[in-house]
Amino acid sequence: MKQAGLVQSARAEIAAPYSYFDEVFEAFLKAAVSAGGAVDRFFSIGGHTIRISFAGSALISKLTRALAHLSSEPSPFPVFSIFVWDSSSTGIALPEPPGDAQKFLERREICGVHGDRICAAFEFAERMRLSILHRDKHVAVHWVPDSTSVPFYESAAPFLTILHWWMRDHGQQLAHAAAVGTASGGILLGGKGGSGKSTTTLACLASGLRCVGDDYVLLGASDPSPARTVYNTAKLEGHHLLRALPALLPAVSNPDEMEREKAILFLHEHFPEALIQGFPIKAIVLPRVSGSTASRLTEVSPAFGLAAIAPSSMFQLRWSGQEDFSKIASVVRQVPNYVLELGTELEEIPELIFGLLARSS
Amino acid sequence: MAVRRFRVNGPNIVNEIIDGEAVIVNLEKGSYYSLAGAGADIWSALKDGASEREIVESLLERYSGERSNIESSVVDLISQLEKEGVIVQETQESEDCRAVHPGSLSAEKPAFECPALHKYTDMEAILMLDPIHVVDETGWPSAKRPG
Repeated sequence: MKQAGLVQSARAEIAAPYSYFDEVFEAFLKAAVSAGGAVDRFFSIGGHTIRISFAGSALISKLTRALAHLSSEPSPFPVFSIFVWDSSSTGIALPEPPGDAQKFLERREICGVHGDRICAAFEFAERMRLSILHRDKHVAVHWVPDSTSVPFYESAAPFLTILHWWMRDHGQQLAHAAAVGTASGGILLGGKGGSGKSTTTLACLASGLRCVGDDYVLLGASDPSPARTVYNTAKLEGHHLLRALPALLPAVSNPDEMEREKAILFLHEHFPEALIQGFPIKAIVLPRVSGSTASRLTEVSPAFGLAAIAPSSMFQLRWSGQEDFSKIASVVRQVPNYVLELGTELEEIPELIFGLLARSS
Repeated sequence: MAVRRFRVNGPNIVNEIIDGEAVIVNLEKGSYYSLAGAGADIWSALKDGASEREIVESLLERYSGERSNIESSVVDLISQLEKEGVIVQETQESEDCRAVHPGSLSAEKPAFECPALHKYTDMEAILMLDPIHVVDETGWPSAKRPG
């Protein structure tokens, strides 16, 4: 009897993640009914047609502006679907996780749910939200408590955790990096927030160099590795934008909030011609604000490049591990790495990058 | 010298050796490290399960230097890595038996230089943006507020 009890308990443990996924998906369906129906949007991300299905319309504008440049025609056969609901506009609560899910793993994954086939994480910052992915079914559910208070960083990079999980299964690695260049090749700009990635990207907008992304890009597995676009968002500290790039102020989507959150620009809405779907990576460039007038490039070791790109990517993406680190390292190994000492004469920057690309081709 | 062996301390420690330098990241704490030269050799051997004694022997094959200096450098670096929680000692001791590949050997050995573990903590703030949660009185997780 005791053994039978153990087997039953083990079965329940194995079934718990799937049961919880099903409960969360059922809750989405109820939310969709409550909101008057599901509203589907389709996007081509990383070469895959992805359906994002919203319960009602409350979250659509907040969670799709960053993806608008990848909007695609409806498809009866999307390869991946993300179902999204909030409790405030639908009245449908998030089901409580299984008993031991009140404990969490070190990186916010839900203990008792998160595992090999089901990925599940609560994320916090200002507001709690849930991301859960069924890897075999290629279905994910995203829940937020309140449609009226979606934080700016989620609008800027919606479904980040889910896309990280799913894209990794499909040979593409999300990285915290910007990328600018031309169709024949470009540079990956790495470094932590405030290092000058966005300044460099935005300084290139009118130069003929085009932008794959400012905050996150997808890295492919081939050699040369391609950088591919995910979000059309650029984020920059408001005071820095006003000082260094004031001409961009009319394009800021949150001008009234710039004192307490970063300025967000949806580039697709203001500079659609400056965006590009992707290009092969020719060099890795790590901006540093120098304080001097002129900018200059200095070659550095690949380890320096890896240390600048991988930790900031991995600390921001749930469930990152050795495999993600190795994928980023494989991209870093392929190309030369440089530090860009960023001077105050920002108009020099595109010229420096064009010169670097000419030398790298 | 002791026959202690070590292993990387779990999946929260990730690492790569790239162009002769080791980059090690502690995903739990938000810190990361770099090791160059002999430090990267020591890291590579530790990962492969070499004992302190085996590591010293391989360094003596690869570099010119006093045995005592190399021994103390290995012990010091291992101690730092243990203190940082990057490696842990294997619980079962065993005899020396693993050959450590010394890498490419040149006719003239380079001089051994004491390895320096460079630690970077500038990313810890990223983890603080998504603070460790606590379960509140309602039974749901919530962000732990500082203070």
